[in-house]
Amino acid sequence: MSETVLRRWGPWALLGVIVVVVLAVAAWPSSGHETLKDRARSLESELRCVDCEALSIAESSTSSAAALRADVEARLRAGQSDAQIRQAYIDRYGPSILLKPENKGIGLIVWGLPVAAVVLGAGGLAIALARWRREPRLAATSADEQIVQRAREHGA
Amino acid sequence: MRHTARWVASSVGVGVACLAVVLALNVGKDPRADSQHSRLVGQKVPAFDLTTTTGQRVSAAGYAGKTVIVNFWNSWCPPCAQELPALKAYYAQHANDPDLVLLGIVRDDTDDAIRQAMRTDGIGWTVAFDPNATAAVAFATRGQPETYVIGPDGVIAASEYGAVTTADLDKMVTAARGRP
Repeated sequence: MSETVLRRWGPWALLGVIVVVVLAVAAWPSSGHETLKDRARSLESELRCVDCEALSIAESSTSSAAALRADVEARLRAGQSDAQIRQAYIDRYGPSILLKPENKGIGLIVWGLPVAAVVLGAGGLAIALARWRREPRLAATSADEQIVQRAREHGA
Repeated sequence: MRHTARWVASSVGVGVACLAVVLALNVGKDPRADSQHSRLVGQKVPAFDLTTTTGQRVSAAGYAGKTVIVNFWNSWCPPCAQELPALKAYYAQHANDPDLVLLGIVRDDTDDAIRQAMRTDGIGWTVAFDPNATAAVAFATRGQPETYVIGPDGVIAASEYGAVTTADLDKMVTAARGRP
């Protein structure tokens, strides 16, 4: 591998590796041994307090939030999966019970739009950089220098 | 390069147009539409077992065969006070109907405040406490007042979030009694 190739593509390769590592770390499951309490806390932070604005049942101290927390824990103890519990709440309250929109249907736009914007922005930037790189770098000819010289003399 | 830029611009344009179409198709589909009526309408009434202000037990099973108006309320909520005249009028109008029950369930209030409100406002129907909000959660309530009408078949026939009128109650009870 020549030094030129390395100099040209090395930073891009390094950037690619960093992006892959960051995405892998972010997407990796936090732990395979979540306790019921961990799962309850996680689910409770996803469910909207029905009496409040933009608060989860984990954060709210209303009696209905406390009752919903107890309900989540009872469902977990009964062996329901996280997905089943989420669905049970959607069935009873509608999708607005979730603080985060679902990653399907119209909710997909909320998740997909920022990704699309980043991809399009990066694409546009890459195209612009490539265009600037290809543009000829103009050097002043002797004729140009004479024109400038004359202009300076007349100006002075 | 000019073609590439044109291609990218066209793609972005098509993407924006698609997004506009999707959003336009979803206009009117209020994500909070569920805040108007309960999703439990058409389902079997959830089990509840509560104690009334007079110390009696009331349960869903105990009301089997009757039409039950369940009203979640609090003494401190203005919309509850707003609908009170309608509830009183409806209750007085149907006082002689043995198959119609009006049950108030306290959603989030103190016993003393409720007893005081019942005395002051002349509330004559059965009112039950829900200290752990189990009934409120079972009915998937979102606030107060909320009114549910359960048919004689034990199915929730209608619901209303917010203050009800006598016309609302008539409509809901008719729906509940009209069920096969």
